[in-house]
Amino acid sequence: MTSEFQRVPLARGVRLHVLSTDQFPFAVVLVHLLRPLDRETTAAAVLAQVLLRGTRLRPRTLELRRSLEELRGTALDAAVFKLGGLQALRFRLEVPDGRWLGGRDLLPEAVSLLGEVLFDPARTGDDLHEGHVRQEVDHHRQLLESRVLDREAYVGERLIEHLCRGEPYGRLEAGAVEDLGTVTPSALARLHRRVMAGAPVEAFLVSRLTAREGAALFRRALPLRARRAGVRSSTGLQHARRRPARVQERLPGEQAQLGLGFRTGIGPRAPGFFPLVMAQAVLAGGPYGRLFKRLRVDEGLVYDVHADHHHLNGVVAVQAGCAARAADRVAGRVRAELRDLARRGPTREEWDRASADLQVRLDGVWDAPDVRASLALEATLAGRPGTIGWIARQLAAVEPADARAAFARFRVDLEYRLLPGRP
Amino acid sequence: MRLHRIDRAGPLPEAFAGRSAAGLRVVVVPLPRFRRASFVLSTGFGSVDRDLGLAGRSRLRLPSGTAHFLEHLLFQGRDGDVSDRFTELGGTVNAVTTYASTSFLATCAGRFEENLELLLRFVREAAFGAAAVRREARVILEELRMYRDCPGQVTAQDALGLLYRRHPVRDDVAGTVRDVRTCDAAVLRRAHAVFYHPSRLLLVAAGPLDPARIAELVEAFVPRSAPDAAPARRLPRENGPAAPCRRTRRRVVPRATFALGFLERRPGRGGATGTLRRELATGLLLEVLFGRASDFYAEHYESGLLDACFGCSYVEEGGAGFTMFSGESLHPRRVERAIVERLRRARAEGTRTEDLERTRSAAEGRFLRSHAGPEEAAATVSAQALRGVGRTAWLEALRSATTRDLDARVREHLVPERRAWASVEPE
Repeated sequence: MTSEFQRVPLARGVRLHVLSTDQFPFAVVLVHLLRPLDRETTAAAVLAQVLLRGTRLRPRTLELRRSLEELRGTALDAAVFKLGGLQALRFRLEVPDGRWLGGRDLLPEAVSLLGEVLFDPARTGDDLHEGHVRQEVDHHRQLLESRVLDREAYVGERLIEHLCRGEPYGRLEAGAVEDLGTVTPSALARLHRRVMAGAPVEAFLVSRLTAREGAALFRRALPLRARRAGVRSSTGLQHARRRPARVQERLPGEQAQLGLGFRTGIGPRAPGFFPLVMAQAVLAGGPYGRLFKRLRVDEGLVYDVHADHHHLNGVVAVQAGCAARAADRVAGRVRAELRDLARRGPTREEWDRASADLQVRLDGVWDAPDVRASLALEATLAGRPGTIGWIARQLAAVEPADARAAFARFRVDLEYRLLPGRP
Repeated sequence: MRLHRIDRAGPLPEAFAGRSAAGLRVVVVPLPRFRRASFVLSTGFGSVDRDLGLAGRSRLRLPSGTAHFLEHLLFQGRDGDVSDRFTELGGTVNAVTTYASTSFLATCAGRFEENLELLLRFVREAAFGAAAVRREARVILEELRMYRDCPGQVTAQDALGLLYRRHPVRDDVAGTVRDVRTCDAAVLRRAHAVFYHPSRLLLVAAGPLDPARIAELVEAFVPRSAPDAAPARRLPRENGPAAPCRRTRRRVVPRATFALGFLERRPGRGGATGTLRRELATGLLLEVLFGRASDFYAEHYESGLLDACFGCSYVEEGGAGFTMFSGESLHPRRVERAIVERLRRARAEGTRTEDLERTRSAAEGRFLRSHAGPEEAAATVSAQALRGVGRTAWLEALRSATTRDLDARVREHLVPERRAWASVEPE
């Protein structure tokens, strides 16, 4: 049993991180295939879903899903997300520990099934399965066109799209409707070959297996051969515009949604990175945060206000939902509080609460295998350590004056509003 | 308080249960391999509690949203915002109100005893004044606005409004705008006195904890108080629509969001065991007929009619019971017809044993995963204890469900002629 991930290189550009533990009644397998955010982002997002539709041995989706049910409800899903300038295709298995259920060990079969999904997909001739591709393109179109149904998520995405327009990070991880026309069975087959043969792989295994046993299992089930290059750290630092941009959209409804995007120019390896993590917590890391206290508890202006720190490119995005008539006031208050934090720094109480909250969150990571894997993956891309202990030491070394200096680096770059009304 | 071991069977971590001298029920699930502990303190006070019979034939009538309003207000403790106190103790706190309960969840990775003490203390205080009530009303009105902008919430509430004419489950858990605006501190305090008496409370603790020590702490932190008779819920019984009914709203949306509901005509019959058996049989049936590994889902996903937004579930609590289908589609009426047609076929053909066995096996695996850590275990155990069932009973009921049980649910509950359809569709 180990307390940190052990890194095992399986081939050039292919790394397996193994956490050997019997803490959980299930095993988790994560395979991340990393590629640039580029014109093929949309196709890659569709590819991830097409691979879940069937394999050569189980060409019907129903067969694949029933195989998973027979593995005591093993969960297999795929997702795409952004990491700096990269798009990650993530495949995740969660396998109940069969021994807890009085049966056999299900992990080898589940990983073997994942190997089938990734490397031996259902095909029409040399192309990926024509029906699966056509259907997934249709589903993807609907997914992209329906984003607005979840207003909060939509505003978060639109803010980054506008803020980072022209940069790789400005692309939506799921891509764009206008690119779907080029997603054909043959184009996806080519992309599949390139991704499986060339995309750097960061895989994670949390189970009872030792690093050696885990590596053997992966080698048997997943033919992950050497890549030309391993994963490179990927950040996308940009500076704020001279004058902040303002984008406004309208959609019938009752509530206004605000997004304020800030550039800090502080990357993940910069000395100011952990002060910025603290600053984000002080600003709106939870119910103790300055904005929650001022805007919700004191004034009842919002139900929710929160801030996201995009670690790899130094962007902080603040989001709030409020009555349309209060939108100017809320936006003004956010800016005013930031000016105050840059001038005077956080209060003692704010600082202590933010420190305590980050500490408890880090302590909680020990019990959360997926979060531990995410931290390790981000650290790999940032080119710095990512163990819980190391992060805790960096945070403990931050002083309030450092956070104040981080606040001074906040430059509002874009204000986005989704207001009630006809488009 | 003496705790006794419960839930010996199966692969689950063992648990201990007892009742304190003040009447507070306690369940402890020791999880020694974890660093965090999770405490869930619940009361059986939910949004359906609007008309209550009290001791001495008196009645308590409450406006909609009272339980949820109170949940918000209790965070404003005597010494300021309770969230801050938890943060200072290295903990976090959250709360949720459902149709039949309110739960406060505290999680921490140290200082367990102080976090538990704070949880047990703040929930039993009602330190808010009129100004706090007015301020919090504004926050809740924002919350309601947010829900009304969410088509999924709107359709689910509309479908419940069609299924139920009088039952309070037809109102949003957070209440109506009018009731939230007019709710006053006196009403909220009265509700607090009734529902937050120690004998109404359930504490579930999971994590690296010693059950005997938790028992000691509960006795120390929750003093005895005068016994108090349990309030009796007064709820209307309803048969639901006699014929299919529908409500469609037109909005500027890219595709339709829908909800299709079926009402349970006799919720609560057979007590906790009856409810458990219905929940499990209906859950298995829905998985067999409409789950990700069903012919139905495969066919209609492939045709483009449905996508991963589609889902269905059965709920039975607070004197109400219903199955709700939900999702998004470009062709909502075709979805409705397809579900109805599948139900008619299921009634004619019955459930295949192999489908039930496969689904049951997967459900057991998922149940094991619902004990993935302290938060998950505390939430699962708490939800079941509030319903008066244990995990062993749950597993036994799962293992003993038959195809006949599932077929009975199709005949008695999922009756197409009594469905309620709600949708938000493009203008």
